Amino acid sequence: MLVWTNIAHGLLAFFWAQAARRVLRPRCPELAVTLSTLVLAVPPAVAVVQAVSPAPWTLLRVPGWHAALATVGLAGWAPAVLAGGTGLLFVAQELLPLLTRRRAWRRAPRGPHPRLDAARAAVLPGFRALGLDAPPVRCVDSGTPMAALVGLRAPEVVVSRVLIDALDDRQLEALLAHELAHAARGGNRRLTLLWLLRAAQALNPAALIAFRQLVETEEAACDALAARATKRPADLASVLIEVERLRGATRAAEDAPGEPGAHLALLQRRVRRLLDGVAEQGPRGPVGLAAAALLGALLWGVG
Amino acid sequence: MIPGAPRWLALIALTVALAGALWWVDQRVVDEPPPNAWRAFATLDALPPDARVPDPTLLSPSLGWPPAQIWHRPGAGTWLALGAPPRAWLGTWTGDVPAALGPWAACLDDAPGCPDGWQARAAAEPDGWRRAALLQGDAAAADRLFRGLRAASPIK
Repeated sequence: MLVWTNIAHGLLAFFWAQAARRVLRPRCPELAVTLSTLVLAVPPAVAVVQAVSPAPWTLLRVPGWHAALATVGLAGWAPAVLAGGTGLLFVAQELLPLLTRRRAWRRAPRGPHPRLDAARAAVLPGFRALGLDAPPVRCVDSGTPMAALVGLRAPEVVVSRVLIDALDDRQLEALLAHELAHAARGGNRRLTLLWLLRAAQALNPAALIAFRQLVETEEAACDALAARATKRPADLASVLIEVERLRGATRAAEDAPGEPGAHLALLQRRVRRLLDGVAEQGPRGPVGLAAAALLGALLWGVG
Repeated sequence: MIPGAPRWLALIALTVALAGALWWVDQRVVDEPPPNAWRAFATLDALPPDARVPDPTLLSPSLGWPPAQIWHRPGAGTWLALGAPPRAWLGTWTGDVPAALGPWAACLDDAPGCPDGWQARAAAEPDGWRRAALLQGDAAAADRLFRGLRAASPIK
């Protein structure tokens, strides 16, 4: 029954977060990330609270719903197929790509690069003005166009040589600003924690959708922060297009299949958001805590 | 004034409305029956120890086990539906039958309304309880099922 309660919590939290996105302001990626985080984090937290202290009110009785669904033949194979499919998607979509990326980054030799150091020095004042610091940057000797924040204990930004060669100085600064924004927003430690929450709810379809949303909106949130730090959003937009062009050329050379339509649609949204100048400051104050308290109170009565 | 206070009030109102809607729907979907009424159970394990459940090894495997529907009333018996939609009903009970039996209840009394192609076999046992098997099939299959049901000592 714990799994069914978690699925009920997840679906309800997801529905609530979608409504909250339309009600709260500013409508910015940071708020969307906060709400997706709540969809992942609040259901397990509420399960712990319910185990210690059941809610004094009841909004939805999960065992009763399970029995009611059983009477119409919907509590057997259908939810099991849904949960099993969600679990398989977790392995295919989250677990295998993570292991593949980790292996690729670990194998590649890294070193300093004068253009990267210069670009870091150029964007650092913008981050320090926002009260943020930045990890070191390193060049990876690779022909695959990629840039990422790697590492948990001693994070660093790594950029592949082909990308450094393809971008001009302004574009390189914009690219670094985006990766440094990942570090400033909690970096891989925060994402790993969220990934573990997602893994703990591998059978929950709401967690699946929320984590995908979170990963996508996190990129947009880092775009927004980078644009605020550099005050040159158009440069970052041109980087996104250039990286995609390079990846397309690499795939064509390797005769690999193209990116799915959803990936290109996401890229289009990110570029449009940057060019439209929508780089609003994220929500101020303890918005996450207040929203978590509201959602937690709602889910506490569901069990 | 808290920045964005009207929007937070709107979110609080939305949360309260959602809670109210959940409670309203829950009251209608999970209508808690009185303690002595027939109740649906999700699994056989959830049944109380005094529930009379037949041994499935004496039933034809084609009927399907575990039951798709389990109805139990404390001290008054147990009805099981095998298959969804039901291909057979097995009952051990005293008093009235659960409303969930629907049109199949008519089969017990040879009354009009029993679904076409269904056979009913029922008998009062010496211990005062009644046993019944309702089956969609021919008379011989219904006889076999009922013999199996009577021979089966309750596993629970």
